[in-house]
Amino acid sequence: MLKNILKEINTAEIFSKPNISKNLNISEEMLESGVEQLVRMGYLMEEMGSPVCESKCKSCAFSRCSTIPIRMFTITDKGKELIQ
Amino acid sequence: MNTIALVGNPNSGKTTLFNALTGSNQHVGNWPGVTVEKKEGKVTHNDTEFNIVDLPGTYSLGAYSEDEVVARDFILKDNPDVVINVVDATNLERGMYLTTQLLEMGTKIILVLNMMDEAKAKNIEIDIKKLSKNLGVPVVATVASKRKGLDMLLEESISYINKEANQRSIKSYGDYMDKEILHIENILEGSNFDYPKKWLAIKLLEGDMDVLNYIEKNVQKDNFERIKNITGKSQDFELEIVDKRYEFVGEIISSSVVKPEVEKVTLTDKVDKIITNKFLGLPIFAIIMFFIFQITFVIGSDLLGGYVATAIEMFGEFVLNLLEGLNAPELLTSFLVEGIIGGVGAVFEFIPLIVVLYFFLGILEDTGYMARAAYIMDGIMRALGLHGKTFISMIVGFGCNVPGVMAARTLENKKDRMIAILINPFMSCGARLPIYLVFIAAFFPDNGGVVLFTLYVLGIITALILGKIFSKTLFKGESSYFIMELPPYRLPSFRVVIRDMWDKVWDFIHRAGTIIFVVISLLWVLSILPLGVEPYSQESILGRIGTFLAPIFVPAGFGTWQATVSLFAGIAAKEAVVAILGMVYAGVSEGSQLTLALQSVFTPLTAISFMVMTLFYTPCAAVLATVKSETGSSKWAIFIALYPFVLGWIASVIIYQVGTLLGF
Repeated sequence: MLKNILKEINTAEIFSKPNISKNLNISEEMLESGVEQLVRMGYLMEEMGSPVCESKCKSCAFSRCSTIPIRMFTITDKGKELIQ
Repeated sequence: MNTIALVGNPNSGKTTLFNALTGSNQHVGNWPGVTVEKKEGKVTHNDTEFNIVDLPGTYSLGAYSEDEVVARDFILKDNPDVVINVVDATNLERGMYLTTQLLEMGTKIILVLNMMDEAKAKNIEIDIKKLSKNLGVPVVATVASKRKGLDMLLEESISYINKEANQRSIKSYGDYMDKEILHIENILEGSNFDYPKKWLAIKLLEGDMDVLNYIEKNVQKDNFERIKNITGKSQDFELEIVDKRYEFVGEIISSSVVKPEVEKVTLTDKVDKIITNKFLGLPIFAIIMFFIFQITFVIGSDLLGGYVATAIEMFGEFVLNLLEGLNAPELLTSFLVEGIIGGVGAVFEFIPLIVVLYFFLGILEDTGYMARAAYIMDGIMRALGLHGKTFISMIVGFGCNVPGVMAARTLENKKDRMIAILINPFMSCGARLPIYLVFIAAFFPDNGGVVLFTLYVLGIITALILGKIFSKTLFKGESSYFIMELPPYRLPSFRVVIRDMWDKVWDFIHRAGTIIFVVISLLWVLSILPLGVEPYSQESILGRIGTFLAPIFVPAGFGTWQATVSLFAGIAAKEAVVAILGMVYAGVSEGSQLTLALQSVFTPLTAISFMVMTLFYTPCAAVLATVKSETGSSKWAIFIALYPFVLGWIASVIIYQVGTLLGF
């Protein structure tokens, strides 16, 4: 399952949970858990589009910074090796 | 005393359950040797006392993090009487991966389905008896936040401690894997371990380094080598084992849980088909932005703008009359009325426009559209050999280039990061907005939206072209590509939009009241010295400095000392450009309004040339300092101070010269 998730992510243009789970015939929750495992195991790297800081100190530029909460995934070299 | 360990995913409600069970009877410490927090508490139920240990929240029991190791070591080494595995009832698939690992350990577990009220609200039907039978473990439903199901859980714990466990685990990991597991188990036979042998075998095949080190210390060397030969056969053993766990979870859930059918194609998907379409996405983005700029002018300028300008003018007149009535020194009156109110007031006049613009941009952000914009631009960025995430830092730069430059931190690759930093200043930050607005008000009042939109787009296109040039010259190399998850569309929260808008507007006001105030005060002094000269005249120190530098801008059409001084003051802070123009032109025209003054010294062509210069030229001092700290190099700060200036000068000279040739 994990390898298939990685393959789907590799070919998809957008990480769409409904689409990927539909293609793999698994639930979205299972997909989410699988993605977590892939990240944990180093096949996939997850990051947020904007730097995130919860402190929002008044003097810091981030306090007036628009953050765009986009989750992004990059397939790592280990992941690329797996799906090749 | 019996010990119960609580284990579960983060956000499964484990700690809520711990607090509900132990109340105030708990203490917090640290696990030995690590910085992970250890929480323990006591509870007595039907004369049975329990010591409850809240293990760190974890999704797995491998050796990838301290939390995982702490949780599994406690379960295996301290051997609690019962392990309560807390799972979120609304998301069993996610939580039960951990359950499979607990079952592999052979530890006695009770499965707690927490947040059952939410599961019911979502029409998730869980057949608890069947689930319990399939797993061979007691299953208890709870709502820890409402203290529901706690008594039943404690009663089940008391009775389970004294019962023989009949738990089920994964029967087979596949023929090949089963053989290898058995092989390792056989090698381990004859030695004594703190852990079950099958679990050790599985962990060794998963490549768990902690277990491998443990085995090395506890088996003979030749046996260790044999084990290493087996585990070294494939890199994919771990993946196969994890897959089998998910298969097991899937089987258990499909036989005991019924979920409502979910519409696979959501409204978000349908809208995204159009909004993020390869051909339609970009034009739609352009139309939305154009519409926002247009509406900004209609509401911010035509409806609201006049009120603020009138208020500032009235305030200026009030202060002037007051000071004259008090026979205040002429210099003080000049400083306050022409310097401060004329300068800072010129910036404040544009607050309504800024409020309206950031309000609409906030709506775009909060609906989830800005994420789509980033996705749309991602395709273009890739085509140019740039990282798609660069556009996110560019969007951030529309507010202020300082966080825009800082946002480049999220780019892993140095090449991508440097390009994102170097092109960010071409994003029209909020501080440049008043410069555009004052010239638009003076020369293009009927086409304000078009001019503003064009300037923003010009900044983006220039940044992209430069990014491409940098990626081919200064920073060669491959960009790493990513896939993004777009958040679902949602109705914007009025509170969030207003709060974000206010943050930006307040920052604008704050800067105008501090940095701009200081810059204005300093330059006002220079504009009245040496004493005896006409204030704000070419003979003043400020006028002489401006006159000395002004020839630079003669080919660009705005080689006046006033324009020159305002541009250089803008390097301290961009808002200072309008503030200085407001100060040096106060009283130049018949009216004191800056727009009228500008109409007498600029033409539409030189206004465009000046606006393009302000779009491109040297970013403000705060951005330069940020570039230095982000790149760790003064060299790049100097580079970013100089090359945009040269670029801006060339662009404005071309505009003016070509425009003049064409008869504008």
